[in-house]
Amino acid sequence: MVGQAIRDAGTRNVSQARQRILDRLRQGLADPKLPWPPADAPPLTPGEHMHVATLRAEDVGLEQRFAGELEKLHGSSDIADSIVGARMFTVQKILEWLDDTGPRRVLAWSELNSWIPGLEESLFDRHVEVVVPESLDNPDTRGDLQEIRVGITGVEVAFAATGSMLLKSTPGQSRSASLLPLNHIALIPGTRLLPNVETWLEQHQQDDSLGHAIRNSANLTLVSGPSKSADIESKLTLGVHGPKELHTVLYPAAG
Amino acid sequence: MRSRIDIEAPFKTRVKQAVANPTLADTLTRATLHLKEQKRLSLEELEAQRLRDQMRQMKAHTLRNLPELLERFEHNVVMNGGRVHWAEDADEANRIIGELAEQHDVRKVVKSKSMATEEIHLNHHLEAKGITCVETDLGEYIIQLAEEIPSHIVAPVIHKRIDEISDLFAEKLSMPRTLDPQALCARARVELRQEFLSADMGISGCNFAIADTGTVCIVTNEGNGRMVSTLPRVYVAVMGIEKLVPTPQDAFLQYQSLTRSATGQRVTVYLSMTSGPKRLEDVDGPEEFHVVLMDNGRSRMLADGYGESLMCIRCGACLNVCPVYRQISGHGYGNTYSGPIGAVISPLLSEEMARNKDLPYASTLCGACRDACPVQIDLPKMLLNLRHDLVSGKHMPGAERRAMQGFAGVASRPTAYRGTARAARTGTRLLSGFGDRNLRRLPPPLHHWTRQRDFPPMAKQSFREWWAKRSGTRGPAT
Repeated sequence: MVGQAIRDAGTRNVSQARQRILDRLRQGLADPKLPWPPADAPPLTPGEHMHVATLRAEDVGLEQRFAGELEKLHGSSDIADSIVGARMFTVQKILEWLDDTGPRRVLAWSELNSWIPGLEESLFDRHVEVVVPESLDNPDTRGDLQEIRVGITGVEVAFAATGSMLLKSTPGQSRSASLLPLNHIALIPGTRLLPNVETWLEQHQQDDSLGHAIRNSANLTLVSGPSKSADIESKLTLGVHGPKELHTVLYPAAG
Repeated sequence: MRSRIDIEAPFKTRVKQAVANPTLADTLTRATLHLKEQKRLSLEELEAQRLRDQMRQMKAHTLRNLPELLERFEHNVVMNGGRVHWAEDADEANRIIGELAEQHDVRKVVKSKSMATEEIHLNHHLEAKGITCVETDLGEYIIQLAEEIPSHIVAPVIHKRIDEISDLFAEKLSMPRTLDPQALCARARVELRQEFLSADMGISGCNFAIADTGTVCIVTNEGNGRMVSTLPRVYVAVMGIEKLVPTPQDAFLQYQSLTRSATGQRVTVYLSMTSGPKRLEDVDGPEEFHVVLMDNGRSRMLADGYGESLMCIRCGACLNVCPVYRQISGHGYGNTYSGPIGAVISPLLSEEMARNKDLPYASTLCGACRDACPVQIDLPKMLLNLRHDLVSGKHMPGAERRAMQGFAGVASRPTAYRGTARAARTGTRLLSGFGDRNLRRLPPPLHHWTRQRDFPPMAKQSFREWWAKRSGTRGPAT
């Protein structure tokens, strides 16, 4: 009973705080002499927002621009002209990262073959184990995954003008695969490569799916390059918490 | 090496301590000029003024509609499966987070860089409950090891040289001394990874939150923001009530304005957008997601006419152009928020006016901050308004106020003014030994003025005398 009373009191205080804050704001805003904000403060309407980073006349293609931007951010890319090439580049990079000292395992999103057909078999042939965790709740699982040095993921969409990729968390798509390992490789089919983030926002705005695109997963992360810091005397350091190396493979979509 | 500035000391003592440190101004000048140049380059390639205008419009609209946007945001967070807590002040915010920690039997908290939690001294509060708080931003981690507070909004350890950091890692982590920043970074990665994996609660601030979708966004380069919002069971985001943007488009506009203004990056490495706890069958993510909406003086700032400062996006651009910041460092301001924006909001947040009455004077009113601001906040005007409010509120020291009243009296009567000015000319030239040396000390009661300032000896003749003579020889200007 006492516990219940305390909880009730807590709830009451919280809602009182809410009411007081909103009342003070409304009261303040109702003052006609208020110097700021102006009484007439129109929103930016959809479509009015400027495109901040844009393509340039000299950009020969989205792939080249993406790769160029990512390189400036200390990442690297392969541009493949076929699925076979994409598979080859991907396996090659993974083998390069998996030297003889560490475990031959990669932390992956599920259904890698849906990104590049035959990729899982190619890795299996090279004795690379593809680990797709179902949950990270168990501390032992966490400790075990900690040892894996390469993560492999697809992307929701990528933006050429800034060398960025948007990663979405879903049941098969862990956040950890792009976060915990020291090296991260991301697969970007051409159909998912757009000029800039504003293009993506406008596409969703047009078919009224923008809210859904943002909130239908618990987490969306925009990634642009490997983890870095300039906290120590403004000098660049890589791999502070996330991956130290980020590689992307750009390729034409299957079929 | 500890910072030589005592945060608890009075403002004038802090300034003396800062100015007495010969390397501080050099270190700060180098670092801030670098940030300023990066910002210039990143804005050169686009219509920078249009971006500033759009930002200002968007933020003004947000403030005008803040109550409705807060309600919409709350509704959407709840729809996403999260919980919203409202805090009137620092004590209430601390109590809410403390209770959440107790409910979940939390022993260790990992934090990503957050000005809001610095503002309420959250770590101190949680540690008093026996909870360990680990700062995970590399700069903040160094600051925490050194037992200091951040000295810059986006670059907390801007005042420290690498050899000082190396000494610190040697002392606290028994690491061999090195001047290789990558080696220091790698060591911090190992130490902090263990903390991420074993923490029960993650706490972050919020760079901006989207009202339309109930989404909290945090901007980092290191990835610690992703870690604290992904690995622990409970994730708590603490945000000032002014941090909202209405739509996803607004969010990406602010994101790009923020990164370019703060560090001159087109984009940061990570932008983490959290819409609720992990969904059914998601591999990873927190089981619970809480947002603490904090007022702590903000609604009063709006009502008192300082609403413009609530548009601040905490990029630090005004610090990087400020001549005063370069001399006295963030610690000179003695508050969570430093630089021109800190001088405006620190006295207004919570009940801090009495302690911070000197801060509005920590500015030369040169206007560089207003020109640097990505939302064009008129910081010099707000500093002047604050000075006015302070004087009318009789916060000014008695001697200074009487002196100003005396000056006003003399200056409004021409004969008295001329006579006093003549006496001052003779007096100051006498004191400087008829040279051009600045006076370090004026006789009482005027010594109050020279305690913090040098006073130049006055010219031999007054402007009026010079003008009369000039007109006599050349005839009046027409």
